Amino acid sequence: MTSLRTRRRRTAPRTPIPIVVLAVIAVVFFALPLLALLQRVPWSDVGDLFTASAPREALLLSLLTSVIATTCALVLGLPLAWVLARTQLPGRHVIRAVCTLTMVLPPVVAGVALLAALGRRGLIGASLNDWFGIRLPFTTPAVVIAQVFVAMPFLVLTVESALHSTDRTVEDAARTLGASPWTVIRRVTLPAVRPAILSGLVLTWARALGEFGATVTFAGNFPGTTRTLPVATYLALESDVDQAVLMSVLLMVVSFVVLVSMRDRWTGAIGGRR
Amino acid sequence: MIDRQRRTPRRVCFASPWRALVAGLCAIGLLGSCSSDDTTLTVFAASSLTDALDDIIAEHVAAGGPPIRVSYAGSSTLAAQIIDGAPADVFISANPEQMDAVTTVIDGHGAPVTIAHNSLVIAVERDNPLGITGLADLERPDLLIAIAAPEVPAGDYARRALDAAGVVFTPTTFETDVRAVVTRVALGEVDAGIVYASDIAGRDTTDDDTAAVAAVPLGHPDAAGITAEYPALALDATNAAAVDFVAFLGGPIATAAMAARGFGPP
Amino acid sequence: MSVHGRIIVHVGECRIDVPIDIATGATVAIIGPNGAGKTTVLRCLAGLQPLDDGRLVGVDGVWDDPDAGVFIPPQHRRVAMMFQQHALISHLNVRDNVAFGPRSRGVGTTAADQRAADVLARVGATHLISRRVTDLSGGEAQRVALARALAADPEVLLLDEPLAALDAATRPAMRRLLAADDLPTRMIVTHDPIDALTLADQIMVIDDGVLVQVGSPRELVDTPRSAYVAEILGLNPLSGVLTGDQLLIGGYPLTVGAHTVADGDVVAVVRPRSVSLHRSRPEGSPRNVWSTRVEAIERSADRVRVRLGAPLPLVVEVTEGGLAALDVGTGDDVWASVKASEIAVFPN
Repeated sequence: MTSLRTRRRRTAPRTPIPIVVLAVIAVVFFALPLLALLQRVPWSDVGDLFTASAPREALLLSLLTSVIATTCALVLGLPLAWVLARTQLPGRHVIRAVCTLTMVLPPVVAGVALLAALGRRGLIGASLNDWFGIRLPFTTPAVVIAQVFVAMPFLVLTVESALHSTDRTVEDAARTLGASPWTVIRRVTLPAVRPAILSGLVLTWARALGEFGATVTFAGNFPGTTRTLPVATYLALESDVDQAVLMSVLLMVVSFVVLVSMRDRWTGAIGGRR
Repeated sequence: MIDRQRRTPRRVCFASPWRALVAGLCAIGLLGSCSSDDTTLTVFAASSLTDALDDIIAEHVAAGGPPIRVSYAGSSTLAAQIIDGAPADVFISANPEQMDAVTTVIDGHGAPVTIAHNSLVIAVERDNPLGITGLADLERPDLLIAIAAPEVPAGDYARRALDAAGVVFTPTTFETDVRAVVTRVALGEVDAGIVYASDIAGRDTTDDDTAAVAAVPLGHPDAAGITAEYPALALDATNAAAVDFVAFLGGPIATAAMAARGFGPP
Repeated sequence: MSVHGRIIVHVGECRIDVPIDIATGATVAIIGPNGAGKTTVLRCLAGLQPLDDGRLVGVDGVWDDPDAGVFIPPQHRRVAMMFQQHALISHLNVRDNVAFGPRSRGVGTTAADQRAADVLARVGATHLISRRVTDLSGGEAQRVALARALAADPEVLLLDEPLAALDAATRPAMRRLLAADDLPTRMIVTHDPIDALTLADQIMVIDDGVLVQVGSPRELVDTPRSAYVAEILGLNPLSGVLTGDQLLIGGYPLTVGAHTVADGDVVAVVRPRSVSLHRSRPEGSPRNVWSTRVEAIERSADRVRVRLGAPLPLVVEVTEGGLAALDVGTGDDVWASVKASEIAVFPN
């Protein structure tokens, strides 16, 4: 005769201890420096932070440029991902490597490359300057360009990967039902990779927001125009560490809020699984 | 706990334990992992001294001195590391303020000795195509000008020189270190910049873009008086080799080597 | 109106060369081993695979003519295709899936939804109309897929293994739907000979990219042109040597009925239902009787197939009741018999 048990049954398989331990270490590894940073914040000065124009200016510039950069990355990156995943273009692998190289290059190198192309004496920049009077370095558009340059590969790769793993049979079926190629893209393919697009956008935006090396090299540093929050923080370290801490925490909080609000909608980077 | 000053334009970086700890750990790790040779001298020096100090060390070693290892960085970074206990034997700062921060905590050998000065010049492209003759010319509206950010010593000196000369303009960009200003001018991205004399005169002639940059004096007597000052100090009075090296730094051979790199005399 | 022409494509290392002649309203089954090119034929008809050579003329004109540089893409052919794995659009519900065809052709939402409702009623899936695709069972999904294909009002319906992914319980219902009279011209790819034999007016046997035989089910069963066709149709082809009316198969003698085949190497076809099984040696007219052993018993929803071992490896089809009366299991000895007139011989 079995006795009544009021204890809850464990029905899920138990996670092995080594995995739990390592996972805890990983969480501590990430959380500790961030918590330490929070602990260094001179909380009495936080009010000054929002009245002082420099951090506010830098934050607004960072938010503005990163959002514009993410939009540009979407407009350019989606078609590129499509071509890489869905065409038989010869040299696809070379093109993919070229287009994602900036993800692994040191950002300063990326900045130097942008100068070489679009600077006042650059390959294209010289003509832009001489014929049209357009000068790109040291302008806010230059910040956006630098951010797109280093961040777009994230979108391209996540979307391309998802496009590879979509179910072609469904697309074939749609075509036989009378859908034009554009209708198939619009109603079948893109909705299927929506999670990947979303996660790609989040990664791209995060990378653009934190971009420093390429920005400061190509766009320079001028308050309000090209001084993004990462640049301002770096310089603050030289003189006013409290200011640097405040700005770091500001950047951290903004990013944290966005990532948390996305929940797990953006982690389906590969395959677009919800 | 050392008092922290708040938000003066050029703020000295006193010991914020967290940052110095990380920096110190790195320094300790870096230096500690290298050879355990006790005779090797460890020198912390401002980054604007890079080429010049290498020459001096070569001279010192040739004259029978011990092997020397140098760590070049921003003066405020180095000061913080030293205060936290980084094993430096000699400290050479780009301004007296950082040296003062160190001497408040550490008793070195005697008082710091100024081993060189560095005047400011205007960097322009080789052949000076825009005809810049002095600070006043920088007020021309069509010019793109780079100076170092006011948070770094070179930027602070530049700002003071401009104030002394009564010259007002809006720079195009504030670079995060002074050498980047030279690079901007060399690449043609800006028309002029305010840099140290040593940044132009002292560069190795094998650099491709050296020839692309020329120096123009500030052209204003009040501004010309603004110079960077480099105090040096042996941090451990009992370390004979360190004391000896600092003395060498103040000596004629070192001064000549500095001059060859564009520095002014002590 | 009909679809006719010749499909010649190179897919990987395989070359497919198959003539096509489908009459309006006909149901054609394509049967053959995996990799024979059956699906490719269907894809060529759909326009998902362009021809390398040959020509395809569809209900409303030339569909594909490489020499003349003509290619009509799938969306402009009046064909619809059904796949083994339903291929429903997973982020749309059933109604939007079924209405997809009409909407893609420009029909307004209301009219398209009405059409969807009508077609779903026709296949008996009205109750599924608001369901999400992920909530459908396999059988329900295939039903919806059929509705979706029909909603597009095609002239030709192409079905690629429509029953393969269904379990034995749902297959009969789907088979009934596919056998309906009011469906358009159908071309069904299947690997199950019974489906081919029961659903189709015409069967095309394809092997290694070529058409081995085409004809009505009766023609193929009565006169399979090769051992391969016999085998693919589930008939028992046996190789042997014929001398007069004596057939030696692997050394074992059988008596065959009247025939016009010359002596020599032949293929004998014994239909699974022609063989009778008995517990003990039977008396009576069948002239071919032998003792053998049950090697395996395969049960599917429709039938029971008993595999016999030496001396004559055959597949015998019996009813469930007949098997129960026999009271034999795997490994048991059993007596088999077949009438001489039920053995067909063909030259090898």
